[in-house]
Amino acid sequence: MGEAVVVNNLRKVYRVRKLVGKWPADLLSFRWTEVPALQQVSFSMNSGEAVAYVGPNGAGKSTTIKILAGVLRPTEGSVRVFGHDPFRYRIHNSHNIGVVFGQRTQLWWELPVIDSYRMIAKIYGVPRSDLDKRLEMAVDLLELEKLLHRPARTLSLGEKMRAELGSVLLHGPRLLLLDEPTLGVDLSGKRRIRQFLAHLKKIGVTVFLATHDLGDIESTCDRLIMVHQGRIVLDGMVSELLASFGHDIEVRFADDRVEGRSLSDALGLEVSGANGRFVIHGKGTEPPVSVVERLFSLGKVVDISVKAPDLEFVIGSIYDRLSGGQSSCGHTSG
Amino acid sequence: MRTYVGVIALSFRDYQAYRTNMLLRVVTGLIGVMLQAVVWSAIYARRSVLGGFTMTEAVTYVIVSQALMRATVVRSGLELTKKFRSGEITKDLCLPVDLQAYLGAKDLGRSLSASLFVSVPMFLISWVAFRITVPASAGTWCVFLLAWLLGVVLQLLLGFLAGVAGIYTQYGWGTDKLKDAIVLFFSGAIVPLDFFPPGLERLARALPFQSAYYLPLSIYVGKTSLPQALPVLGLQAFWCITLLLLSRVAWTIARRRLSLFGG
Ligand SMILES: Nc1ncnc2c1ncn2[C@@H]1O[C@H](COP(=O)(O)OP(=O)(O)OP(=O)(O)O)[C@@H](O)[C@H]1O
Ligand SMILES: [Mg+2]
Repeated sequence: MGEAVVVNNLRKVYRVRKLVGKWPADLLSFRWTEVPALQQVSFSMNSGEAVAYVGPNGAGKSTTIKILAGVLRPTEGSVRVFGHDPFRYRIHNSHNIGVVFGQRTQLWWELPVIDSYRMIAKIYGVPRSDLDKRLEMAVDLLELEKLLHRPARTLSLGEKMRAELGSVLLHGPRLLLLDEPTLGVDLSGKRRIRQFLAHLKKIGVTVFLATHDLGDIESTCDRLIMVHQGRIVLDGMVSELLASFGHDIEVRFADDRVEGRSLSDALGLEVSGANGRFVIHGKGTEPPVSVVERLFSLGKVVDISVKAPDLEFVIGSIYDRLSGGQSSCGHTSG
Repeated sequence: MRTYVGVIALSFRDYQAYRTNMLLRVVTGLIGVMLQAVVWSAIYARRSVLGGFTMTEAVTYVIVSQALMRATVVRSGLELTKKFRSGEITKDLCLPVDLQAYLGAKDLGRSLSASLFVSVPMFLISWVAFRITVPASAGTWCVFLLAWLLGVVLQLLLGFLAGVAGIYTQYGWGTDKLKDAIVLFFSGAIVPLDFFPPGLERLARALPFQSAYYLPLSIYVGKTSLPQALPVLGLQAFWCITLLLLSRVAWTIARRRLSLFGG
């Protein structure tokens, strides 16, 4: 096992050049402003873990990935990837990791995908036999056979993404850093990509997945880290997070004079709706069955359904809470 | 090391994809050769020796120089600045390669391709058409090729440095062109340094740029004899090492800058 990633008190500020005054004075006088992207970020990941990294736009996800990849140097704090400082030992680090940025491609524009793959394999020094094996796996899982012989420039957005993901496993990385890998991919493409990630996870690859697509998380990740305005606000297992949110129960009483307020008082739970139709918002502490039983004792029920909380709801409500709490403190996004 | 050899090979092949382009380069190259031949014949119309060069020596010098100029393809500087601006550099920094060596290897592949498919045809045609002289001894050929290779390396280093400078000026095309102009002038690519006014000649000889054309070409035309060639190669090597060290420092600083401003 061992630790794949250890991040301690990481802080990153970007410097932005600000023009002051009008031309030609602006040619000489710049002012620098600092944009904080990450502050006091700490987390660690064991080998073989699959962690989702979520947060609103501008939260600091891409910044974290670039630091883990050794592209950017942290302003403060320490970062270790398989025991090494990724900025200092960038080349060593890059053999261990596979990086996908949703918006960028490593594939050569003019070359058939397969040629790009060979080139990448050559750059990483992958032996022929390993390459053939991994290529077969990528082609299989991502259904690439029809794309391999076409120049990357002729592929659609989603096809390109699949081809890109294929390229990232050729050198047998131990850690995958993925920045929105399903951006612009259709449903069946997403399914293939998720299949692919699940397989990599099964063979022991550590996955760090920054995404806005909660479907990616549900299918791939056990653990979730949420970052907001450069700080980690949540770090835990996906299943526990879901369980901590209660179920929603939709109920219709035969008697439409039942009042929401009395219902709420009787149950000790939040209730919305009127005229005999209500939604009861359960808490994670009481199993939904027991709430249902209590509802039956309160009147004649003609219809009832229980809805388990899904990730979209859970994360959506956390985001709401975050932006309601302390919104925009000199924070830019983009 | 194997990696970079692989990159050279791939880029060598890749550059040949533009066959018509190559043919056009041979044609435009020959036009340049013709122009030089006409100009220098005119210059030598009323004298037989100038700056220590006979007409045949001077014409040989400038025509071979034209062929060599077509042989070096230095794109790494411009590529670096562009990648920096577009943010594509982020992906390149995820590769297990030293970016300078990687870009340099790509240029080396292109240059080898251009040498073989542009310069050699140009040279052969000029040889037949303008009766330029050719070194008689295999030793001179070897030393000339070695000096030329060191000149190519020097140009790659200069290209990379111009690229790093382009990151700072935020105008990569400008710094690259400035570098080209300086190299063109001080390297003796158009006119042998012996023809420069004394002050300028002394300056040009103190600068690294003569490595690119003047030094290899004076070996080719026999102005530098074989025994004299050793210190010349030494001087070239000295400049290559100096510029290499300089570019490593510049690149380290540029990476810090990238880090500060984001990818
Ligand atoms: N090159 C840069 N220069 C200045 N500020 C930057 C730069 N890159 C990012 N930032 C800022 O740093 C913060 C974090 O950005 P980052 O790209 O890491 O966010 P993100 O979580 O990936 O967002 P998204 O979900 O939109 O991709 C943002 O406030 C952003 O504006
Ligand atoms: Mg991002």
